Amino acid sequence: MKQKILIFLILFIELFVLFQWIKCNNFVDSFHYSSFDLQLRLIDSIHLDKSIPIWEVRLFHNKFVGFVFDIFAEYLQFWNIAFLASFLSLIGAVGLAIQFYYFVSKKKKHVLLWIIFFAILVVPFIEILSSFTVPFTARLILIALPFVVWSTLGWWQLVKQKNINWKIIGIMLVVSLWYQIIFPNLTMFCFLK
Amino acid sequence: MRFTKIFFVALIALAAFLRFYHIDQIPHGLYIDEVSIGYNAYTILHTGKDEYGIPYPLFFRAFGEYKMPMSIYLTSLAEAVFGKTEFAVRFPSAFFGTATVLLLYFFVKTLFADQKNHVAFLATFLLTISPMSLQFSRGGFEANIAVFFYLLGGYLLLLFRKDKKALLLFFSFLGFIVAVYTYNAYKLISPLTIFASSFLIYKYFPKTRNVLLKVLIISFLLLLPLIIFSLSANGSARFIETSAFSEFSHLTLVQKIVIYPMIVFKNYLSYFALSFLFVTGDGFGRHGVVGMGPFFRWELPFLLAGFYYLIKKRKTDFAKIILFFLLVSPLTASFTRPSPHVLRSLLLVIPLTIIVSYGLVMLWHRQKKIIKILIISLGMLAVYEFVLYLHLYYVHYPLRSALDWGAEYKQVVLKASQQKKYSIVVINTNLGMVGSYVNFYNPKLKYQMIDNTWKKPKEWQDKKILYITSSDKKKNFYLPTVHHILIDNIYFPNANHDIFAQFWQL
Repeated sequence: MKQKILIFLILFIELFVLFQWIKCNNFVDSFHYSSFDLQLRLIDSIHLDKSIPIWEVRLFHNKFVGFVFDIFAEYLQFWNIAFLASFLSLIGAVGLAIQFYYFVSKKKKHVLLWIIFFAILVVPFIEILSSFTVPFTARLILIALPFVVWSTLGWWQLVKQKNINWKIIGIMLVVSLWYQIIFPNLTMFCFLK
Repeated sequence: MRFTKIFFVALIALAAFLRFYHIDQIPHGLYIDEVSIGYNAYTILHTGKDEYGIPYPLFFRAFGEYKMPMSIYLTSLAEAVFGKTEFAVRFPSAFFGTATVLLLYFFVKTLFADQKNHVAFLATFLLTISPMSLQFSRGGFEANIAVFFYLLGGYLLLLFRKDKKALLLFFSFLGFIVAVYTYNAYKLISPLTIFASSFLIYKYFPKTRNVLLKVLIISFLLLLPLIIFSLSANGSARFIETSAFSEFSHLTLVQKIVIYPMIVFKNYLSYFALSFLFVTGDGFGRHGVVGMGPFFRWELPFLLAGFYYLIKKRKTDFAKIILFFLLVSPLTASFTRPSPHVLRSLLLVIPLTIIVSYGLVMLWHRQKKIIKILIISLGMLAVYEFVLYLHLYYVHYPLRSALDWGAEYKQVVLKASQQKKYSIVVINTNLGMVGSYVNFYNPKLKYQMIDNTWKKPKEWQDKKILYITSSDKKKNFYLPTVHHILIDNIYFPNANHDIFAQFWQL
C-alpha cells in the first residue's frame, strides 16, 4: 500500500510539473537544430583560419562534423538535470536514472521495456529536427509520455525492494516540491504563449 | 614491465609538453591576476615585501580582496630561476599540472589496489589530454596548483589506510591545508575532507586515535590564521563579492531560510549538467575554448558506464572514495555566482576522469565484440576531437580570446616606454587595468591615470603630452576638444584588426 501511495504521489508531482508547460508555445532555440546557425558559425571559424592549409580547414570546419556536434549539443539539453527538473520534477529525473540503472542491470528484459527505452532515446530527435511541423502540444505529449512512464517504472522498481530508506525518499519528495516552487524555470526552456 | 615504464615516462613527457609548449605566448598574454601575482612575487623575491610594502604577508592584498599566498611564493621561486617573465608566472601552474598527471597515476593505482593498473594508466592518459586540465595548467591559475595539493592529501590518506604511519596522516592533512592556502575554494572542501576522514579513521582504526588527535591539533593550529582572517572584513570580502546570495540580501529571514538552500542546490546541480561538461563550459573566455566543453564529447558514454559500475559496486571503498570526491568537488563553487564556474570547480576533473577511465576499462573487459567495436569507433572520434581541440586552442583561441587576456596591455606599456620624447604620459581610466601591467613590465614608467573630466593643466600647455586611451569614442570626451595627433594604434589580433588602444600627442 505504502508503495502505491508513493508512486501515486510521484506521478502526481510529475504530471503537476508537466502541466505547467501548457503555458508554453515552443521549446527555446537551443533545443532545435538550425542549419543557418551552423553555416554562420562555420563562416566565423573559417575566417580565423588564416594561413592554415585548406585540408585542415575542411577537416575541422565542415557541415558534417558541425551537424553531428550540434545535434549532440541539442540532444544533451533534454538530459540536463535543470531541464528535467522543470519538465518532470527532480524526483521524476531521479526516477529516470533509477530505471536506466535497473534496465542495464537486468539480463532479461521485456520487449515493452525495450520499446520504451528506444522511445525515450529517440523522441528528443523529433523536437531537434522537426520542431515546427507538428503542433507543440502533440510534441510535448510525445516527448513527455516515455519520460513519465520510464521514471515511474524506475520508482516502482525501487520501492519493490525490501531495504528501502523511506526517509530519504520522503526528503527527496519535499526537496523536489520545494525546488519546483522556488525555481519553476519554465522561461529558460520554453517560449511562453 | 619495461614497456610499461617507457609508456609511463612517455605519457608524463607528453603531459609536460602539452602544458609547457609556448605558454609564454598562448594564452594571449598575462591576464590581470597573473600580472598581480607576478609583480608581488617579484617584490617578495627582491625586497621581501608585497606591492603594498608588507613584509612576507600570509594574505596578499589585490584589487580590493586578498589572495592566498602559496601561488605567489611559488611564483617567486620560478622568477628566481627564470626572471620576471610570462614563462615564470605560468611555470608553477604548468609544473603542478604535470605533477598532478603523475600523481593521479599513483592515486588511482592505490585506490584500485586489487586490480590491474589499466584504470590508472587510462586516467593518467585522459588527464594528460584533458581540455580542462590543459586550459588551467597553461595559465597562472592558483586553482590548478591547489588541485595537486588536494590530490596529494588524498593519495597520502590512501597510503595511511594501508600503513597506518603517523607521518603519512600528518602530510596528508598538510596537503589539504596547503590546498586551502593556495585557493579560496578549498576553505570548505579541505576542512570537510579532513573532518570526514578523521571520523572514518576514528571509527575504523581505533589504534590510531592518539595519532589522529595530535595531527588534528596541529592541523587546527595551521588553519587558525586562516580562520581568524576569514572572519575579518578583509577575509570575507571575496566571499561577499561572489556570494550566490548577494542579490537576495533584501529578503526577510524567513524568505532567506526558504530560498537560500535551493539556490545552493540549484547551483550544485548545474555542475553536473551534461551541456556544461561536454559542450559549453561556463562561457568565460579564460576558462575554455569556444566549441569545446571541459570534457571531450566521446567521454560521455564512458562517464555514464563508469557511473553505472560505480553505483553497482557502491559498497566498495574505491567507489565510496570516488563518489565522495565527486560530490565534494563543486561544493564551495555552489555558494558563489555565477554557477556553473569551471575554475572554482576544477577539482571535478579528477573524479570525472577516473570515472570515465573506469567505465571504459569495465566496458572493454565485457568480452563482447560489439562493445569493443563501439569503443574503437569512439577511439577514432577521440583522436579527431583531440586534434580539433589542439587546432581550436593554438589557432583560434589566441584570436578569439584576446579580450580575456592581456597581451595588448603589455604592448601599451612597452610602446609607452619607447616614447622617450614625451616628458608626461597620461593614461585614460578606460584602460583601467594598465597600472598592474606597468608594475609588471616596466615599473619605471612614469604616468598619470586620468578620467574623462581631465583637462590639460595650464602649466603643461607648452609641453608635449602622450595621451593613451581606448579607441572607444564614447569614452573619449576630451580628445575632440583639443588639438591632437595620432601617433600609434594597438590592435587586437582578430580578423577585423579592432583597435585596443590609441596613442595621441596633445
